[in-house]
Amino acid sequence: MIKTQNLSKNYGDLTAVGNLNLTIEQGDIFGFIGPNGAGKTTTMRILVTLLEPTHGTAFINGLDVRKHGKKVRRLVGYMPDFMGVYDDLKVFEYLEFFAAAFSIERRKRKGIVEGVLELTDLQSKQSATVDSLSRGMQQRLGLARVLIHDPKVLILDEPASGLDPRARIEIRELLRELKRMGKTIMISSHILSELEEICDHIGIIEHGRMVFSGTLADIRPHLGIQSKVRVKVTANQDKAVELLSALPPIREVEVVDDYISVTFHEGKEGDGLIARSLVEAKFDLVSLQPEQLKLDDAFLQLTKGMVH
Amino acid sequence: MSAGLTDILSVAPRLSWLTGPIFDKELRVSSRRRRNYVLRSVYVALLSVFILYVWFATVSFGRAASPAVFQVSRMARVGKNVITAIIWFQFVAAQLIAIVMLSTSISGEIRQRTLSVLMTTPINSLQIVMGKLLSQLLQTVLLLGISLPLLAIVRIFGGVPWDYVVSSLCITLTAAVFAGSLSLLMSITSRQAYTVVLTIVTGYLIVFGVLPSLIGLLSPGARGFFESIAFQGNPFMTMLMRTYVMLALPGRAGTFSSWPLHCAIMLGATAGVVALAVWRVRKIALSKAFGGGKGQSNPAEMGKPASRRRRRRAALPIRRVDGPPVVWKEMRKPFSRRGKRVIILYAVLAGMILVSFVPMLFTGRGRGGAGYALFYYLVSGFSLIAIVRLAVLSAASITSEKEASTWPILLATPLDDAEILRGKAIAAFRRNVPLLAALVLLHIAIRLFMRFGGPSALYSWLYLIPEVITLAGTVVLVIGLGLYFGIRLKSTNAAVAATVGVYVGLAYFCCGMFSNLLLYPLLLRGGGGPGRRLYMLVSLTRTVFVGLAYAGLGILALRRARRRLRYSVF
Repeated sequence: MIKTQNLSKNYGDLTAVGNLNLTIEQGDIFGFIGPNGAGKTTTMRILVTLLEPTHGTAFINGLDVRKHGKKVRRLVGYMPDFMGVYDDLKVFEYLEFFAAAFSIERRKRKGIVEGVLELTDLQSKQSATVDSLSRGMQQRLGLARVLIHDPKVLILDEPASGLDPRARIEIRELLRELKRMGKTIMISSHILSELEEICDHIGIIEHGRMVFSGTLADIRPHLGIQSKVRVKVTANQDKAVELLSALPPIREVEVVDDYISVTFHEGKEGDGLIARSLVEAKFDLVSLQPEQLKLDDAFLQLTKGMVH
Repeated sequence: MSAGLTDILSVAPRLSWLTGPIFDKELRVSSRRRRNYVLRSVYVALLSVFILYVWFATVSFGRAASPAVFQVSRMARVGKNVITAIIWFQFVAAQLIAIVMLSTSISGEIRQRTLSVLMTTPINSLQIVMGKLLSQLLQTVLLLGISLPLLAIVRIFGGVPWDYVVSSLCITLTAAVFAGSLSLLMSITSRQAYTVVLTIVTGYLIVFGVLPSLIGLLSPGARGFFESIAFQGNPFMTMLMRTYVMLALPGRAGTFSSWPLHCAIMLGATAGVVALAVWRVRKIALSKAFGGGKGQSNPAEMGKPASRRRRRRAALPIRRVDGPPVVWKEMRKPFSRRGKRVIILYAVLAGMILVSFVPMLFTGRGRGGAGYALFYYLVSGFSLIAIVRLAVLSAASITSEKEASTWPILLATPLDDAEILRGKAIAAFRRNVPLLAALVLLHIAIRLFMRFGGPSALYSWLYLIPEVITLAGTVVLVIGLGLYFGIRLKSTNAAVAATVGVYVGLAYFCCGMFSNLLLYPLLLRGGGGPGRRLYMLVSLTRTVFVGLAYAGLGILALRRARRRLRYSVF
């Protein structure tokens, strides 16, 4: 659905984006991560035809963004990192204005506006002036605006920045709902734990170059990090350590606090083998939990904190 | 010499109680601002063009009168004319520059949220106000200094007394200080520089121009009283009188007005304005900085309890989008955000125009009447307001979107570039229709009330056609320039200044001044015979040509604007 080929954007000597190759499949939520100044916003602006790339190109639903700007804009809903509002308009008028800008017939507009107001839970605010809304409400309005023309692709630049926890959770739920509706979503955020929860794929960009793209599960082998599990038994922890150390796929076993940390050889996994072995040896197995690699840790390992 | 300099420098640190570190900071920042260097270059360029114009105009008249002995006999006259031109240019430019430079002095701090930071330091309001005022006025004084050597050189021609030069400089300085302090005071409450500039310029026109003329016209018997009140506190009248005395009545410099008294009055008024600014800066600026100001849509205000204006807007019914969306959105903006104040201003202006009809009706019919002159200047002022408002509406229709970060959102819609520009242009025109229509009506009214006789009547009605063509061309030009500069520049202030600057440049230097130079010989050939008719014909043709040229340039600017629409989105 979204594809970039050697996409580059230079500002004089500064390379904001350099040879970026990226593919996002239809219906995916793609988390775009990177330090400040890494090139996320520039990439998004190119995708929505607001910037011309210096080299390379990008495609949305097979359409070249350089050649088919108007058609691409019809397909995409874009929410910038800082969203301004027309403070002379009311919420309903604001949304209807964008409906008209997207050439939606006048007789259909009212129903569509009411629909997106309901989806974003803004019905009660439709007569309020846009500038009187709180930050969270304005972000919702931004999402409502993005949805007004029922785009196939949503490109959201930091949609949850500056929101309180409740508003963030609500936005997250809304994005899940949009995914269920079949939308392809590209989202950038600095709140990595949130992306972790909703994204199918992530891309980590630094200094204008993609340092990783794939699922969260792909990061561990990418970083050369072995799989780990945490094992907890009721008694005879030392004997359990002895037993597990003898198993072939296991490289290292150590006791940490009240649980046993088991590290597999690279590329090996064996949660089932561990459980079966412990149960057969009559250990009371309390829990067996894969040790998750947190996105924050992966981000720190993958990036060097370089900014332009 | 060096001891004197040391004395002067030793005084400088002692002024820190008055200006605090603000003065140093402002000087440092202004030395890094490109616009200050541009301003100096433009000032020198304009001054040179102005002097050249005066020189050639004097030479043209002089040659026509006495070609053989001109070089010798008219040197003193040339000297007088050139010095008068320089002094008047300085007088007007210094005030205008002071107003422009101080128009964002406090609002800039509010916008950047640095005023609240200043308020948490030991710097007091007086230091903020004086630091800002003196640092910017220093730039103005530097500009005045640029032309001092020129004044000295031109004095070689003779005919100009020193006291005229000195008194004029003093009047200019005090007028600039007063105008600057007014601008600073207004910048506490006005966010946009052009609002400050327009308000002060309009206020000046009314208080220092129209009002004294009107009083003088309606009550000629109260001359003595009028002199004492209106002249001594009016820098324009004082300067006018000084110039008149120098040109027409040498040796009677103190007859009509006492310039030291005038300067003292202006400095006293400045002190009053500064005191008011000091009082208001903490009170109002702080409330604005933290979102308490009414009518300001800053992020700090979001979600705050509704102001009266906002409640009134919320009570209005929802309006459905009809027609082209960009035009609809632009037309939803209020006629003026300052509502009542602007309506009062227009009402005052309309009232004055109506009042100026009265003496015309009963006394001063015909082109020579004083009533006609006042009426004509009022209409000119009204035209200027309409044009500046058009420039503001067209330039701000794009820059305000950039400032509010809505521009990328609009460009991310499938609206064509031409559709967006067309919408903005139509809306700017439609929002200005009441003023433009009033302007056309005023031009018709001039002809109705003047009741010209004979060929002049036909000529005056015939001249209405090119006037309307020129007005239409001006509208296209100003809208085109406004949209072009709105796209090229980021801030509304810069775009409005560029639009008005280019228009004024075109109108007064290219199409006005220099074409007048070409027309002088025709006028001088004179009388009421064929020469006069030829002058009228050429003048008429020129007006049509100017109108068409304006329209052409406006269309060119619109085309350039369309090509650059997506070049500098952020």
